[in-house]
Amino acid sequence: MIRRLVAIRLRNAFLNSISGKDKNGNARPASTGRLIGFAFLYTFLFFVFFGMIFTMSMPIAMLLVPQGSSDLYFGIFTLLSLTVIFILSIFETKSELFECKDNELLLSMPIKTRDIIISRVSVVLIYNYITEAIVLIPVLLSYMIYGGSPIGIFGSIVLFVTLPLLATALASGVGYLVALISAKIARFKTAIVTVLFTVFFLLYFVGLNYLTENMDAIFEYVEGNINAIADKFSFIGFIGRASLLAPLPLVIYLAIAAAASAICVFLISKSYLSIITSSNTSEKVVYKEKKLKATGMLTALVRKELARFTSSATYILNGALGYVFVLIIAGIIVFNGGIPIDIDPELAGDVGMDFEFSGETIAPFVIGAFIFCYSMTLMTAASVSIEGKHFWIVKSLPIPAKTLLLAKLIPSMLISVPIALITGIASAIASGVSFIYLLLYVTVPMAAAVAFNFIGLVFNCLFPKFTYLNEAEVVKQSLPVFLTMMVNLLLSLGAFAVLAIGAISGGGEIALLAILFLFIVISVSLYFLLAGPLSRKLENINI
Amino acid sequence: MLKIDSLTKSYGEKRAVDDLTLHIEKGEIYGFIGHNGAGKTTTLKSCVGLIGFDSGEIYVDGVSIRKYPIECKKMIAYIPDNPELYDFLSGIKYLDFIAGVYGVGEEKNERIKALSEAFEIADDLASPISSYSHGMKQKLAIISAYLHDPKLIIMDEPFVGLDPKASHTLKVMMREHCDKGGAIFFSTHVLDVAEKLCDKIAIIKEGKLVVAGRTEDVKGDDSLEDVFLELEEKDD
Repeated sequence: MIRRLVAIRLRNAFLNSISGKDKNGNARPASTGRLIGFAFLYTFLFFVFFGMIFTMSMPIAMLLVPQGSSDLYFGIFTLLSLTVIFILSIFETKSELFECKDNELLLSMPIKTRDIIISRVSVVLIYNYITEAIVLIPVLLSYMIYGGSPIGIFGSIVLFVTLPLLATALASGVGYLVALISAKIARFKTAIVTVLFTVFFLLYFVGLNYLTENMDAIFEYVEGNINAIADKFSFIGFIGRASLLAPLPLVIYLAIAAAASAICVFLISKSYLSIITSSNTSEKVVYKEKKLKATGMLTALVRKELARFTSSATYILNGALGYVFVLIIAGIIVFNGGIPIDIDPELAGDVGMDFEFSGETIAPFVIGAFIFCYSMTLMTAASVSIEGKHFWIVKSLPIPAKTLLLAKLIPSMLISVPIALITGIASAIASGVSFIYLLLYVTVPMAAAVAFNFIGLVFNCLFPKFTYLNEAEVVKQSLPVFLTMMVNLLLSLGAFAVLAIGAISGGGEIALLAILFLFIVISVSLYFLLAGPLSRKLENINI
Repeated sequence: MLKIDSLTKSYGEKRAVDDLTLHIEKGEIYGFIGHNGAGKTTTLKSCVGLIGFDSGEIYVDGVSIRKYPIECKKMIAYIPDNPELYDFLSGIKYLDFIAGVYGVGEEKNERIKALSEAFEIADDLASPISSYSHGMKQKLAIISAYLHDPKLIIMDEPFVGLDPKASHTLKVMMREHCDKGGAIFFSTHVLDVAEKLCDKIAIIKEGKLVVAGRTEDVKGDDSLEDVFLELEEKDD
């Protein structure tokens, strides 16, 4: 039964996103060509991430493995893998376990509750194995290239098999706690859940920051102080030794993973029914008549979009995480009274940065960082799909597709434009730059944010997915979100490279203007694409 | 008001609607009857512009839905068989949204008040739609359909989920709407209601129109149920 439930769930999650449409817009099974195309695309994306991790792990392996510090090497990447899986699956577990639309249907059937829970957790576990493969296989390859031992290879396989269990158990535990709390409260559920998840995220980034800051210490002292480092980073040392099959750490690690999984399933089983059955209850409020003002079509649609966005913590946190980072960076600049950067002039000279360090010379890097953060805003990439079963409403109303798409863009603009304006002005003033740079501080990130919103909407129009069992399927895992993430990432990295070259060669302003021009061209081009062929595509979708 | 000419719609090999022609005039309540899978919902969805069709044409007050869907939709209100409404909105916000889309001015306040009181959900309008029962969602969908005073109302099984009082209210409203010059085209399996309420009736089977005309002409001296069952058996 568990196997069947998992198979149905995976089929729904994957095949729905690649099913084709006939000339009338009716759904039909994916053709062989389409299957091959998607297989190629997913393989390509897999190897892009795979390559990124491989590139990152190579120098670290080169530094640590030949010197006999394999435990530190595995410790670092196991921790990285654990945090990546944990963060990526934290929303997934809550949605998968407690918010699937077929929960009540399954519970009405002669299926054990425990089997439903295990099947749900197993689905998350499968996703987590895929994530882990992207992280740990390149790590293992780097290890082998730099002369890793057979024990290390075998140990990393043990780790590969067991690590997602631990990560899934931890994420399920957090998802369970959040679901339990939100089941007990009647009002402000979204706000409370958003705050809870934000706190978890902040804790994660504080931890990551601590680790990053201390990485210098690791490299600095690595040659002579392995034991001291292992003591200082006891978890890294411990998990690293477990990966090298040291008996005691291995046994303790396996016991923790098994116990966490068992406790997780036990706890969820205890409250599963009460959480699920309370998920749709909200406080009843008696309506007191208020005079409603007349509104136009676009206002009504934008209000609806904003209400949809703010109704879901999963949507808010996945769609708007980039804005949080922008605010954090701007906050650091403002509170620091400028850019907190301390570059060794000798080192700068070595890489050709032979200019005076000032707010203006550093500005392209800061703006590049803002652009990178905006690339993580994915609101529009799920905005069409999230209509789901409600799509008939806008289809049956006299709404031109162009207006509908505009209404899907405006909420993200309403958030990104003021943020770009405020953070740009504040950062420019705090950095003490000229008026021209102040304008660039505002316009370049704003143009990037707008372009990223357009990109998300275009991908969602190209690959809408209206059938889903839980929100995370469209907000986190859907193809348009994935493609938007990739394209935004490549664009932001490309922009950063251009800005960095411009800054180093003394042409920061020109580089910024070029990037501004690029993002404006992208937005304008995509606007015409949305207003023309993609509007027609949306009009022809059958319900 | 609604002219369906030689409508044909296929799903793959299966022809869901086959050369269907129907004319619904102003002031008429037109019932659409057929067994499950006969093609009723496909026809209704085609009339509303929710799905495209292979051939034929549909005109709403003389305007082609294929060529001018937005103009047609301005004249139509649609209630599906299972109204999945925005469960993240409250009832009042949903009605405000619909009013905004149709450009209904401040007169919406009076209409919402009157309609929500008629269907006895005035007190529930502040609650989120996610907390509504199926019947309450159906009532809200009906209120939203009447909000902009459409010329043509298309309904798919509108009585399902309604309590007896709400059913009665809806029937009265349907008649009033048509008496004012509007038209209603709706599907139903409740043959008693169709017999008493409809001015005209069409029976569809396997996508093809079996019979259509004035209710008294279609049923003759028999009950509509007898006629329907006889037609079903005859072709089998």
